[in-house]
Amino acid sequence: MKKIQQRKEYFVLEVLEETLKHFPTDAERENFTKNIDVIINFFQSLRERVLSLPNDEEQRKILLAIKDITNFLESAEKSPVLATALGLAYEKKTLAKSRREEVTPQSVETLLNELKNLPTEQIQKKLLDYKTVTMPQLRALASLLGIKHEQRIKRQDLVDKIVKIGFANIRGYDMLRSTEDKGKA
Amino acid sequence: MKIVSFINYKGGVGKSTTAYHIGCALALDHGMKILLVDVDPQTNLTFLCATPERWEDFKNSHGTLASLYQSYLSGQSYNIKNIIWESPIEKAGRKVVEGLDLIPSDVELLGIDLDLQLKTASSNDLSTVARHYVKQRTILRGALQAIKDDYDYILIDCPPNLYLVTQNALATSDCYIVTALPDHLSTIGLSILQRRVEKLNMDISHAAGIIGENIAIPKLGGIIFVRVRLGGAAITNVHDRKMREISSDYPGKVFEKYTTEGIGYSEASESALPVFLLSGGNPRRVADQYREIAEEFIRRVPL
Repeated sequence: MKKIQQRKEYFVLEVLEETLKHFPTDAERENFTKNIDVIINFFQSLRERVLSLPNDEEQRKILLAIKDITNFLESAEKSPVLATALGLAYEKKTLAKSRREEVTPQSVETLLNELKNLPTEQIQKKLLDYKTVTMPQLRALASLLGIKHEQRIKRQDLVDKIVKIGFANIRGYDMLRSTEDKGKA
Repeated sequence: MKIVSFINYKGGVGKSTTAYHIGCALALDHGMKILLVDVDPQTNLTFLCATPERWEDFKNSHGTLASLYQSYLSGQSYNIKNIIWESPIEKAGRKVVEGLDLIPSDVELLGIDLDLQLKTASSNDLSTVARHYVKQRTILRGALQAIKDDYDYILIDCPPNLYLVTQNALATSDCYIVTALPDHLSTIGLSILQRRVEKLNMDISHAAGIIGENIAIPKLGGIIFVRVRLGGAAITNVHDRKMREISSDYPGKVFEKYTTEGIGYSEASESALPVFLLSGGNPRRVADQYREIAEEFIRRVPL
């Protein structure tokens, strides 16, 4: 029994001896703590940088300032003198630009109804006149008539499509049908 | 100058579209002077060139091909220059295919064909009957004499039948071109068509011989396959097999170039413009194919 007790104590000592072998050396401990210091410094620095970002109030003020500057630059672009002084491109207020804002579903419907009452040749003439009908209006009209076209289509090509597909072909079909009906009667 | 008829007694096989695009390609790409003659009362070629309203205006102010036959039926002479529509193809009011003119058709040609058949020679004299037979079939030929030097090619779009208006087109042509889809139903009548045309040629030559005239008869100028179906980059088995069969039956006559199935044609027809003047992938693909066909056409039917 005593012998067995003595063996157990030896075993613990053996384990302890083995464990001590895996403990870090002084040099390793020093290196390890240095690395932890680097990490602590990083997070401290990060904390300071996060705190230096603008808070809610500061963000609101910045947004207001941006809006003010944008408004100023936009108005400056419309003034030839100011735009030149600030080195900005002067934005010419064109007829097309001003009309672009006027394209509404109602205005296109009105245009379509107007066109329906015109002979085909006059429809073409009216649509070709850039002073009367703008490109955005033409595009909206084509869309209303279900006429697909390429994004970069030329005015002449789009007018041709609208006139032929939207009006001339339908009128031609009706014309030929009524001629045939008269013939049968 | 060469006169070529586009013919097939099956409808919907691309006669009008092919005549139209070859004509446009010759005018646009080769600077040739072209006259399209629409002798089909369906007026498809006419409406590929102009909208029905513009056609109606032209018809009321100048007349159509029907005017020529009506004059003949009423025993009057007629100047075909009256019904030549100069550069009818327009985009937004501007002429876009200079050098290509049209003699437009008219639905009235349907009735005219019947009236021509009813106009018989009331004589038992062989030469009188022969003269009438030839005269009935050379109305167009006689009229085109006045303008033949004004054009490089005159392309005639025939209706899907072989009645007198079509026989008139054949009797004035140097050759005829058959368009066909490479499928069973579209090609089954090719040999019958060729035999019928040969028979008509023989009959008119015989009649012309009786009255001491000589009428050159048109030869088969070629067979053009249209709307060939592709499976990926290759022709589908059925169409490929049919094209090989026809090429073997008509050695040297089948155009190497053909058009493939697609939607470029319908865009062209609703815009009354040739595919060469349309933008977008589909029209461009068809345009390239027709350019190649037009080049082969010039080689096969040289001036």
